[in-house]
Amino acid sequence: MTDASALVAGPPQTAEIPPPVSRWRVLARRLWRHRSFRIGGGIVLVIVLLALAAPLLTDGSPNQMALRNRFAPPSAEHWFGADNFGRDIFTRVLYGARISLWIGFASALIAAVGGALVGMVSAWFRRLDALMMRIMDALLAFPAILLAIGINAALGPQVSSVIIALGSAYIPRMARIVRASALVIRELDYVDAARVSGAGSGRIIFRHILPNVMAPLLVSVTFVFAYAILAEAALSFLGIGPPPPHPSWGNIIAEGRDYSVEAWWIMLFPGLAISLAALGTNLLGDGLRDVLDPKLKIEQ
Amino acid sequence: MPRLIALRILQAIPVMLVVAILTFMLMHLLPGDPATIIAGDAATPEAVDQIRRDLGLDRPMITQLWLWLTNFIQGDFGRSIMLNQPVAEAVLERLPVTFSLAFVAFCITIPIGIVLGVIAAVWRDTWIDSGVMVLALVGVSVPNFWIAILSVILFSVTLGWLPSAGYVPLSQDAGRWFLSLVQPATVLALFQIGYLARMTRSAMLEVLDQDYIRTARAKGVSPGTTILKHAFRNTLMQVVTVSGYILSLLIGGSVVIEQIFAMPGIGRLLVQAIMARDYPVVQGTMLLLGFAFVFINIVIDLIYAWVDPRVRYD
Repeated sequence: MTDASALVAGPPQTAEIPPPVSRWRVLARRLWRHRSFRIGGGIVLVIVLLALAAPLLTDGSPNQMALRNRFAPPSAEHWFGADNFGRDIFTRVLYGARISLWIGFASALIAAVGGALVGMVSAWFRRLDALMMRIMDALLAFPAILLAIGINAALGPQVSSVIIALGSAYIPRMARIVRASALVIRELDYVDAARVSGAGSGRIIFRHILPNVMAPLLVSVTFVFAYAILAEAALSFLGIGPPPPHPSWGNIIAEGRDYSVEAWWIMLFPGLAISLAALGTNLLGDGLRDVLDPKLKIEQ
Repeated sequence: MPRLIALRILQAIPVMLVVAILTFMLMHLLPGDPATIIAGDAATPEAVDQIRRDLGLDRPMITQLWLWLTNFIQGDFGRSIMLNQPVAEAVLERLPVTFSLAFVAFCITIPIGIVLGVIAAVWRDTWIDSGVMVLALVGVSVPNFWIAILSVILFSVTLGWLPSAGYVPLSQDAGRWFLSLVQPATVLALFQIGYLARMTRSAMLEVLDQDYIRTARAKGVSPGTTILKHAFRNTLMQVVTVSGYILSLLIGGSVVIEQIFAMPGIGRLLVQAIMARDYPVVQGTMLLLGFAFVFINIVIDLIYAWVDPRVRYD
């Protein structure tokens, strides 16, 4: 058995017992060994750094118009070209990264915390389940983007309304996924064992159920982060995101749409930026899932 | 099972009520006074007051809610301001467009997504797995409205193979109906295909690690049967959950796609109504879409209980 697992595991482990290392060190090492995590983490890190360094890398004015540069194609001076107002697309894309990443992060956090709480509580307290799931169903009845459009329209076109709208739009979806896992887990023997040994509901939910719904939760959070970036872009594209001239990625694409055949660079580069950001986030989440998922740990 | 169906339908009634109240509340948070906007810039204060009275906007919120609820129970969803037409009529006219789009996209998504996910899981850690997963990743990472614009440039402007905009009703010409939907539905499905493939793969991998799969293999069950009967059947619960979610994403996504392909669907109506502050249309559309989703959720719940008896419904 040990021989077989050593073969599967790849590099053979040293014979002597290693000194005890912290759980986080072990996790960090496993993460580092994971290819998707490295690639995804690298992409996200580069985008975050570029977003932070935007004032240093550009002249710091994403809305600076220069009519003599109208529709300037990509060149050494304008890497990504210029739009119909002569604004530099590279500068606008870098500043757009700040808006998009923040919206993605904040909405994913709201969705994860809210969804995990609702999902676990309704799986555990069976009497609450019907009521909570009916409320979730009512919220779920609205497709996420429609709910976001509605809330956003009500709160006014601001970055914060996009965050609240997208975050709340995903709570019921996360809750359903967490609940589905938690429903199976609550029937398992170790939960009975914990209950028999006198553990309270809070302890069972957070110590026994939460760690075991973490894997699906993380996979879903990944999607929410990436999808929030995509949804923000879609909202901007529809004209209900952060208001122009905010250089959000969706806004740049919307502005470049009319010139998509002649001045393709206006919409091409922000689209690539959205795709890269979402791709990096998804890869990162894949790595996290593989490492943190207890069932896959046995295999590795 | 019949008892469960009846129970679910009964439980749906309060959900619909919550949907209705949420829709009403959401729309009354919208900034701007609809009466002023409808009347236009040149209107006298008296004219604005008249419109406000006609729409019942001068009454207390709770009275408006009650009126609205009792009206829609009688099938009256109000009258569109911008279209000067009953809301129910306006929505029903556009329903086939959105449903056709979502239906074709769903039919593209489900088989392709599941097959890709199962293939990737079975040939785990090989180049096949990597290839499929890279494709799936690109699918869930690329904004569909952006791909839609690029796709129009390639297939409609440059090659001229597919129409770049518009919708042909099924009753008019089935061939052209399909042709008008191919491009938008495929673009719409890309995200969902990637999503479903990834979820199916991770669900399959979990199951393939189980002892009973090894037992099945050891006792000589053929690989095909092991995968389909022993492994895939046990991932169905997760796949069903995800499919319901996918349907909601498809209808939500059609809002954006309808806009790009100029398709006269519900999404386009909704965005136009929000822009024009046409309250009755926004409320009516959200409400009808909400009801459609309550129905879909009932079906998903029932399939769920049928697929996995371990989930107790009490």
